[in-house]
Amino acid sequence: MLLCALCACSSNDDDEQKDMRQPVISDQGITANPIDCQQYHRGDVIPFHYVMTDDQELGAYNIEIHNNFDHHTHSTTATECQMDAQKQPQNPWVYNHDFTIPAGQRQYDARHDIEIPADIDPGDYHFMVRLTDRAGWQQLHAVEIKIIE
Amino acid sequence: MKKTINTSLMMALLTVFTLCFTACSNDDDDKQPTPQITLHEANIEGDILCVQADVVAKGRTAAILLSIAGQEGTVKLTYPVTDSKYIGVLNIDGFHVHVDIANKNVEEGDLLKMTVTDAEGQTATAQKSITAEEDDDEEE
Repeated sequence: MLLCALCACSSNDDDEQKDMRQPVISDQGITANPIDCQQYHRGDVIPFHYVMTDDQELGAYNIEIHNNFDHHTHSTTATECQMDAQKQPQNPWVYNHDFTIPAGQRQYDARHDIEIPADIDPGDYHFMVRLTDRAGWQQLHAVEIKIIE
Repeated sequence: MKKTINTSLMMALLTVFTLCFTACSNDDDDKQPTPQITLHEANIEGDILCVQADVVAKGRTAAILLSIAGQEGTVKLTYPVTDSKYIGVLNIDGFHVHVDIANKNVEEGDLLKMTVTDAEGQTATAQKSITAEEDDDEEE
């Protein structure tokens, strides 16, 4: 009985592995896209491609594109790109989509072709990728791109 | 005599079990810390208020509410943030929301409050005085 009790103790919740690490968005083994300071024409396609990994299990990701006409920062990179002068948005591009990663994945090859509308304001934009693992940890990867006419 | 030995044995086993189960207690009653909010920016840019922040919520974010009050305390606007990328997560690096403030009479000096509630019902609020847009081009 004593042995049983000790066995029961050894299987308590503390021994379950808890996910304590943020997932990772990387270019491991691929040519990642987009990257800082790239330029795209209105009407072009952005061939999004990144590798997503987690030590336990991936969950979902979100891609958001918004204008950076006010020159704000998101500080995930040290790269500085040449920016246009500040301006007021007239018809800025806003893209915001959630994507689910199939259950049980520790690595995922994320690819999407994102069409740039032909009638949006050209200028500086932020391309934001937020990856969330199953535990709820989130990683942000922000890229500065420029849309030209 | 035999009864005394049995009773002692039962007591010993009971003590061992009690100690074991005490040691085995799980973390279910461990309350997570309240959410932590760092408000970086609350800036008027034309008809929008640009809000930037970082959040850590070990109990997972369940609700996020932005509210803007005048300097005399009157609430001018409330804005629940429902984006799935910000809800149900342990951390938000680079929270960035544009709040439509057209015709809301929001002005520099008003107070932005950001309230985060986690899945355990714990709430934290951070506040920041609203600034007006800066024009960096004049410096160049």
